[in-house]
Amino acid sequence: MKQTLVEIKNLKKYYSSKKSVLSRAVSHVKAVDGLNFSIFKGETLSLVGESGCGKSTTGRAILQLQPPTEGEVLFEGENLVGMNTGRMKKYRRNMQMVFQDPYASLDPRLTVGEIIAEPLKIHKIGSSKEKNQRVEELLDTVGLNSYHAKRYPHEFSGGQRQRIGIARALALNPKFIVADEPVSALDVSIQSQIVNLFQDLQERLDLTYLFISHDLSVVKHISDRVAVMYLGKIVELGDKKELFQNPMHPYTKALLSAVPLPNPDVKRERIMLKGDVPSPSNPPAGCSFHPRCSACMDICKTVKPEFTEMEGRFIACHLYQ
Amino acid sequence: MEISEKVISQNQNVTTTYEPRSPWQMMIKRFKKNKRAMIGLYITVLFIIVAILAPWISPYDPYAYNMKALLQPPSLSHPFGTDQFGRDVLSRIIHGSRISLMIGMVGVGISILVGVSLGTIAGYFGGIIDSIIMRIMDILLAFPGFLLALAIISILGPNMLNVMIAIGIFSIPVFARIMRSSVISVKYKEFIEATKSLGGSHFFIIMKHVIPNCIAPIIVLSTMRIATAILTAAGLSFLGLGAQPPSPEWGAMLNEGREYIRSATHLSTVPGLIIMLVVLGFNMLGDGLRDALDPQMKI
Repeated sequence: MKQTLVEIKNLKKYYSSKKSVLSRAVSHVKAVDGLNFSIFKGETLSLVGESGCGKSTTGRAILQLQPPTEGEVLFEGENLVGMNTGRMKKYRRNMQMVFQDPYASLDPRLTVGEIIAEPLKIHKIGSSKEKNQRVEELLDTVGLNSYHAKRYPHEFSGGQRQRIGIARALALNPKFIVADEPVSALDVSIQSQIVNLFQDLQERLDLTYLFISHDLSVVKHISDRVAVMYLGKIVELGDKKELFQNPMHPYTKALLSAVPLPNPDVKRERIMLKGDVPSPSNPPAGCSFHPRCSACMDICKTVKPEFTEMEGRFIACHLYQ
Repeated sequence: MEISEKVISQNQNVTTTYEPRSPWQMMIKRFKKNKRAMIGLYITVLFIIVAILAPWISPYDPYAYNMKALLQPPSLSHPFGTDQFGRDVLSRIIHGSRISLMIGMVGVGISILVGVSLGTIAGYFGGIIDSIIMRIMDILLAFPGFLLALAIISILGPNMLNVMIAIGIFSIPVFARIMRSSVISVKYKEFIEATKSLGGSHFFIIMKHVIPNCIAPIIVLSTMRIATAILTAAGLSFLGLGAQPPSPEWGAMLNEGREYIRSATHLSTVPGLIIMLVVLGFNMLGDGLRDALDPQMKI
């Protein structure tokens, strides 16, 4: 049995907005609406879905960067939700984040060395000499040179900046890293380098990843397990191989049929979804996917499908219940 | 991976003479290209040097009466002439620069200290704190600056210290507003979130990331506000509410010279021109700094 590192129970994140200054009526945007899943030690769990489905919010809610509305996030059995700042600071050493935009995630006024040493400074680790040593070590780990420490972020390319961001995330020797679309802002040629770096680091440093992405080919390459999100909910979660070979949920099927194939001669049926993603402030009744689903039944329009386990696969669909 | 290593090693050869350039160094480079800004800088620096060296470079005692040389027009021995008591106008202008510089620095210093703190708190924390602070700032901003300074002086009494306080207070809302808007634009950046995820406290984030990234517009505004402060102080002194005679404050000199405007024009024109020159210098410097710090930024 694999060891669970992070367990998410009924995680919800609602954003509320008042309709007008005077009225008391509040509308909720259900960005993340009741997630239940576990992340095992040493694995890469990918979170895929189209933009606006709540992938990034999930990552941020797990790290308590945006406090969840409801639910629990258990890190090594300890609930992080509602933890006070002092204790949370200790836990932050174990979990870090790599951000999507390498141009916005580094402070332009600091040198690369200062950026990477920042986590050490915040947690008051080491003397300035030890810090410099650690910075050099980290730059080397992510494939940069030690003389890069004196430069400023604007002197680097996107891929190099992402390496700097990774070095900063690694500075405290975390166990768990949330990577929020870490390669989607990069050129395809650089993407593979960064993805390989992620894999290489996982092996060397025994890391666990929550890899958020909308790029299915990257996900196929890097993950052990894949969770598919639609409108704030996970519709299917399973082993990567099985999920890619035999998608069960109609949404997963449609999503996978959109992956470009390297062989142009292979004929394949492309499932085109009708309509747009409904607004998360007013999701459809029953299964939130039913207005676009090709296999929609009567029950789908009224009853929300439960997220249940089936032969090692978790799925939320009435077709399989 | 092989390819990337090759690229890195190539970089190493190319960039051995390469100096890292900070945003500030790039700004200085842009600034030097701007002629008007450089003129502004020269005027400002000259003004500051004169103010610092005043006791050593002024040819006469600015307070010494000379009854043998009353109201003399400009000459070789008195380049800017003499006033109704025979005091050398040049020496008085030189000593007056100290007063103006001090008013500018201290006045703007007060407003930076208070305005930047209030603006940062309002912008960073938002919500009800923001509303309370900014509504108070709006009230202050509703008064015309000079009128507000006048009101404060009439409450506190006319002297130099109160002029500085008055000028400080009436610039606070301007600094607070500019700071608040820059803080709001910075606080949603990903690098702030990155520091949060590292466990950085609000204080750490504000001091290390928010303020350094918001300081550019404040520098520009300070330069421009020093000009306003000097002008306002001269205006207040002209009305007799600031520096009192025999202090060689430029505004006060302008007022004294007013009575002799027909017989000794230089008495009022020289301080007037000097005020104009210094204010112009600071404004040109401010404009240049703004263009150099961020070509897209407009205040």
